[in-house]
Amino acid sequence: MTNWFNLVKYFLIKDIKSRYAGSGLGIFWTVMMPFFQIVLYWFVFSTVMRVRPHSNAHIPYVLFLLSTYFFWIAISESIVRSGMTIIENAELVKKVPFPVIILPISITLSCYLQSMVGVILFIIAYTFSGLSHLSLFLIVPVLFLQLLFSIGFGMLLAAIIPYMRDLQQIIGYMLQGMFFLSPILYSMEAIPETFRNLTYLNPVTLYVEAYHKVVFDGTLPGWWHMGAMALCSGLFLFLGVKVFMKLNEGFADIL
Amino acid sequence: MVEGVAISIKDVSKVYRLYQRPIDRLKEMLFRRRSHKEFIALNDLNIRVKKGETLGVVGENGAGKSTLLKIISKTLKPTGGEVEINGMVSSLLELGSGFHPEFTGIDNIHFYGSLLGIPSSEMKRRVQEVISFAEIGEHINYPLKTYSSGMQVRLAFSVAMAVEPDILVVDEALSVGDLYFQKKSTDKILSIKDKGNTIIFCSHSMYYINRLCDRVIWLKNGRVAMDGPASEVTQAYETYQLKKEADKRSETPQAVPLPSHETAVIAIHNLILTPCATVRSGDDLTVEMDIVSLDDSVPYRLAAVLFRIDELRILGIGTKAHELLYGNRKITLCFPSIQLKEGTFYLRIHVMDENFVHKYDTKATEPFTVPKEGMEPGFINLPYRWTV
Repeated sequence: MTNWFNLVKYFLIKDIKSRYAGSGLGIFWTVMMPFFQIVLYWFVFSTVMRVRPHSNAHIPYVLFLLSTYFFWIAISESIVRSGMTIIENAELVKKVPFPVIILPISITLSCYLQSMVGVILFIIAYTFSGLSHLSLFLIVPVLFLQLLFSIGFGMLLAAIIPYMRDLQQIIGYMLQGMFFLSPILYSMEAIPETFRNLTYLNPVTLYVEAYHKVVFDGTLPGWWHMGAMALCSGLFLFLGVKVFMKLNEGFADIL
Repeated sequence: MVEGVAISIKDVSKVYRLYQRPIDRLKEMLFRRRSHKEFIALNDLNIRVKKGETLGVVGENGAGKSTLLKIISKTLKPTGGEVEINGMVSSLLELGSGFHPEFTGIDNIHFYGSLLGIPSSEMKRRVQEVISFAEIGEHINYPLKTYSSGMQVRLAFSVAMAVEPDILVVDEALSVGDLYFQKKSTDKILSIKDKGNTIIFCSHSMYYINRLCDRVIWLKNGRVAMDGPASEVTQAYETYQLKKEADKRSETPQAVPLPSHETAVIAIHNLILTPCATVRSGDDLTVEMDIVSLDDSVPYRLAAVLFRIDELRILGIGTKAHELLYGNRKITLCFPSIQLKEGTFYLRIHVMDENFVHKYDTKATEPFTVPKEGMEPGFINLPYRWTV
C-alpha cells in the first residue's frame, strides 16, 4: 500500500513537473486562463447580452461564476488528460510491470490539485467581498464525491481510448455539452421548468448545484441530492475500475 | 512451486489477435463476438528454469523470443497456460523506459524502485551503490535531461542491477555505454551469474550465448525446437540457419544458366564424398567423381572450391599443375588430415576449359559437418607458434 502511495506521489510530481517545465510563469497559467474565460463570460452575459443569468441579486455575477468554475475545470481537465494517459505512457505500460490503474488516478489528482489554486483564489475573493462564512468548508465532502466521480470517469476513458482513439475527438464536444447544460453560467431557476429536471441527467449538474447550495446558502443540499451524488460517484467509480481492470490486459498488445 | 525452480512455464501459449481496427478488439472484449485473425507466437511452451541457471534463448526473428521474455518479465499476459515466477524479475528490456527527464537522477532511482515494487527504505539503502556504479557523481542531483545519453544508459543499467533481481532478463544488450562501461557492465552480469541468480539471456550472438549460458533453448515458430547444453544447441541452430540461407540462394535462379546434362559436352557424374555427413578434424576427406565426356577431343581441367555452408569460399584449387584431361576419367580429390574445426561445409567441383574460364559443368557434394570439439572459436586450424 505504501508503494501505491509512493507511485501516485511520483506520478503526481512527474506530471506537475513536466507540465511546468521550462514555462516562465508556471502555475500562473493554470489560474490565468480560466480567469480570462470568466472575464469573457462575464462581459458577454452581463454586459453585452444583459441577461440576468442568475436570480440571486445580492451576489455579483463574477462571484457566481467563480463559485463553480474551478471545480468544473477540475472535471474537464481530468477527463481530457486521463483519456490520453495510457497512450502517453505507452512505453512504460508496455515495458514495466506495475499497476497501470495508478496512471488515471494520479493524473486526476494532479488536475484537481492544480485547479484547487483557483478555488483558493475564489475563497479569498469571496472573503474580501464580505460574503464568506464558516460553512464554506462543507464544499469538502462535495469535492470528495466529485473527485471519485472524476477518477471513475477518467479510468473509463483511459481504458477505452487506446482501443478507440477517435473517441478523443468527441470528448471536446461532450465536455462542451456538459458545461453548457449545467448551471455554471446560469442558475437553476433560469431554466424553464419543463427542462429543469432533465438537466439533472447531467452528472455535473449534481455537483455544481451542491456547490451553489454550500456557497450561497451555507448548507449541504437535501438528502436526496446528496444521495444522488453519492450514487453517481459510486457508480462511475465502480464502472471505471471494472472496465479498466478488464481492458487493462490488452494494453500491451495494442500500444 | 517446486523447490529450486525459478521459472516454471507450463503449456503457455500466446496468441496475438490481429484486428483490422482497434475497435474490433474492444467489441470483442465487451461483447465476446469473434472478429479477428490469429497469430500464434508461442505454442504450448513448457520450460522449467532452475534457480541459478543461465538460460540462453536463440531463434530466428519472429520465433517468439521477445514474447517469451515479455511474459517472463510480466509485461505481457499469456493467452493460456501457467507461468510461475519465483522471485523478483528485473529486465534490461526496459532500460530507462521508466525514467523521467524532469526528475533528478536520485528521484529517478526511487521512482524506478517504486515501479518495481521495492520499498523505499530498501531503495534508500541501495542508492549510493547505484550512484557509485554508474559513476555519475555530482550530476545525480540534476534533472535527467541534463545527462548525456551515455550517462542515462549507465544510470539505467545500474538501477536495473541494483534492485538485486532474482531473475535477470537480458535481451541482446549485454553491454552498454562506452568501451569502459561495456566491460564493467558485462562483468556485472557475470557477477550476477556467479552469485547464483537466474539469468535469461536472449541473443543473436552465438559466441556470447556459448560463453554465458549453461543451457540453451532454441525457439522455432513458438515451440521449443531444441533444449540442451549450450554448445550443442547453438551449433545445431547455426547449421540450420546456414543451410537455410544456402537453400534460399540455390532456389534463386542464377544469372547465367549452367548447361544442363543433356547438352553438356563434359559432365560430372557420381560425386561421392567420404566420410560423409560427419567429418572430424584430422580425417582424410576424399571426393570421387566420374567425368563423362561426349567429345574426346575437348580438353578440360578440374577445379574445386571448399565452401562453408553460408557460401564463404575457404579454398579454391585447380588441376593447373597437371596435364590437360581428355575423355572419360575417374578422378579422386583428397584432403589428407583436413584441418577444419567447426561448422558445416561442402565442396563444389567444376569442369572447366583449359584456361579456367568456361564452365562445362558444376556439381556440389552433400554438406558435411565438423563438430565443435574445443572452446576456441573459429573454423580452421592453421599452424602457429606463440613466442612469449
